[in-house]
Amino acid sequence: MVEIRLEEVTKRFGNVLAVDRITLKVRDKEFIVLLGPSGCGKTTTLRLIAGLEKVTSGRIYFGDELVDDGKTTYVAPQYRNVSMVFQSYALFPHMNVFENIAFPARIRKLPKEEVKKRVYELAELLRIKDLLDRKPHELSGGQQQRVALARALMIEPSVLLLDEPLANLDAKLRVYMRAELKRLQKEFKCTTIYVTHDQVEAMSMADRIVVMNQGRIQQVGTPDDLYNKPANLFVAGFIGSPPMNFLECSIDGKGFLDFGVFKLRMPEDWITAVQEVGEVIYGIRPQDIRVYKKEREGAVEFTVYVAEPLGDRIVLTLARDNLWIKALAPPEFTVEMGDRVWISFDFTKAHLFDKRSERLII
Amino acid sequence: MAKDILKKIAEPSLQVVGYVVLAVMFLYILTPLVWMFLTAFNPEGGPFLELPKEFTLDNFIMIFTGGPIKGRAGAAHPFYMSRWIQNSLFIASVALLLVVTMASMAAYSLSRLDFPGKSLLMTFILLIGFMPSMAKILPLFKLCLMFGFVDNLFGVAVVIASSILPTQIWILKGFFDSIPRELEEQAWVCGCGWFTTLMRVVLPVAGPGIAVVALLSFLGAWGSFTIPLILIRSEDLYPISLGIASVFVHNPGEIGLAVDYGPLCALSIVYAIPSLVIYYLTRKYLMQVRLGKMEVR
Repeated sequence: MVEIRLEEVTKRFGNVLAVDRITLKVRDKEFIVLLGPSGCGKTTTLRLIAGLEKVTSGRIYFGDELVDDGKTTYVAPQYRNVSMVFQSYALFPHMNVFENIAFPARIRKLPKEEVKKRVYELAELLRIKDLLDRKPHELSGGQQQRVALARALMIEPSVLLLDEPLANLDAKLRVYMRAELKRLQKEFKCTTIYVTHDQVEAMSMADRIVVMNQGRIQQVGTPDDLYNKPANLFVAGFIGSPPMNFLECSIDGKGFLDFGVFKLRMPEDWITAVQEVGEVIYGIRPQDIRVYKKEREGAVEFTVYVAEPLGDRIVLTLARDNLWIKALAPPEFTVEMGDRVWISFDFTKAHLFDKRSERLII
Repeated sequence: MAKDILKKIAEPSLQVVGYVVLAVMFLYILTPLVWMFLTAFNPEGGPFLELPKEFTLDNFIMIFTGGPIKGRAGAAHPFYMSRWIQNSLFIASVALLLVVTMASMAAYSLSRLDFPGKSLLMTFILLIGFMPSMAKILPLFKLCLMFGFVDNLFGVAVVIASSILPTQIWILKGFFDSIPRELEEQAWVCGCGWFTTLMRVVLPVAGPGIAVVALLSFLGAWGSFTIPLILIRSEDLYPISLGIASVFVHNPGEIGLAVDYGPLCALSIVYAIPSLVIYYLTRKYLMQVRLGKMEVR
């Protein structure tokens, strides 16, 4: 178990800049999730840490040891003592489950008895004890996934690398394995780097999340930080479901936000924060909007465009001229398409972003 | 009504016609094989299809031991036949080893490495493979004279291997392409160096492909006729293919007199056996053969 540091790490594939000057410190025993849309460089970052790719520039440290600086130093994957679970699981098709799990220990020439004992322990823990004689192609997706995980835990790796390990499972199994993985990580206390594009997975499992886009780190923080204090528009839009509403508006100098068709009075602390900005984007999550059937003080009138009941809540899409807003309402809030409703915004949970830099103002 | 009757008659009769056609084809193909089989086990087999009066293995014993059997007259050929079988085995085995070693290395590199001119090289290999070996026989013969490959079994094996190699590289590249790269990366992460990865992961996974290539090259060399025909002069160095042909060629117009049909048919059966056995052994893997993604440009 070591701390892993990436300093100004850049990776190019020909003309494509896959990873752009990433600096990141993964703490010992931490569960860190690299989150971002496909092609954002998260898998490349993982492969750089594993040593499957060499950095173009920058440095990667395992503890105090420099493992890759893109010039003179490069430690090959087999000497980095990492474990990795690929999205495809990459089980060896010619070996049975037992041999697959034992493989890393066999390569390290650990004593046979010890290997056998460890395999049985892991198989017990991951509930694959009855499958040890089977070949990978005789297993279901979920079973294959657990075998790959057992193999990764066979040795004590410096860091456990997981590349979208749940992506190939069906929805129900995914939710189940999510919890299992989190529990296992805490039990084994191993530094873990987990790559996913699923923000729910990231939020539910991570100690800290690294949000990436276009090869760059957008924000590093706890799930709570990302949700409540998104650093920029990208993070705000990526985290949370349904996604945050973004409304373009301007500041009118008298303490009001001007949305064109209506104005909202800003709280005092907002007025001081926005003094030097012109064009802004107002961001508010659907759950922070209150919806009423009757007109009331400070609420703005909208028309119901569509209502999608989800059982425990209703997702409302509301329209007014060219403004569109998604809001959440309790299940008993029955409305029809075209009904008039009034909404109010919870300013303590709303955010303001600079339209030009897309950064968070407040 | 009439239509129904027509249907009732027409459908079965079509089926009958089909069976008749099949039966004729069946006879056409099988008759020579049956004749060969019966003659091989007939102590007095001749050029006509006849049921043996008694069953014997003498013909096989003769071709394997090389000597005439007591109390049986015959031509001199059986003396050479045992040599011919050995020669064919030698040529086929050497060609197999050469092709498997070189094709696996070449195919693995072509599958895993990217280098400038790769697709051109692939196309070139394929074109060489498509070219009939007789088309380049003159320069080849000159080369063989230079290297001392004429009248030399090892030399013949090398030349045959070179003619089989291109297609086998393509077949094996297809197999290597179908092995996900992640499998190798997983092996590295698990602590394997390149050699351990090759021995413990890549080759075992590619095993069926290598087996197919080994057996195909064995068969190719075993059945090869033209290259030995050009390169081998001494009768005791003939492979089976050349031997069987020579029996006829050396006895022009005398078929039925000097040709010793019994041993010859026995030899033909021995000659045919490997292809049957090999098909049986590899039928599962043969279905997996594919030329990878077609990258010919």
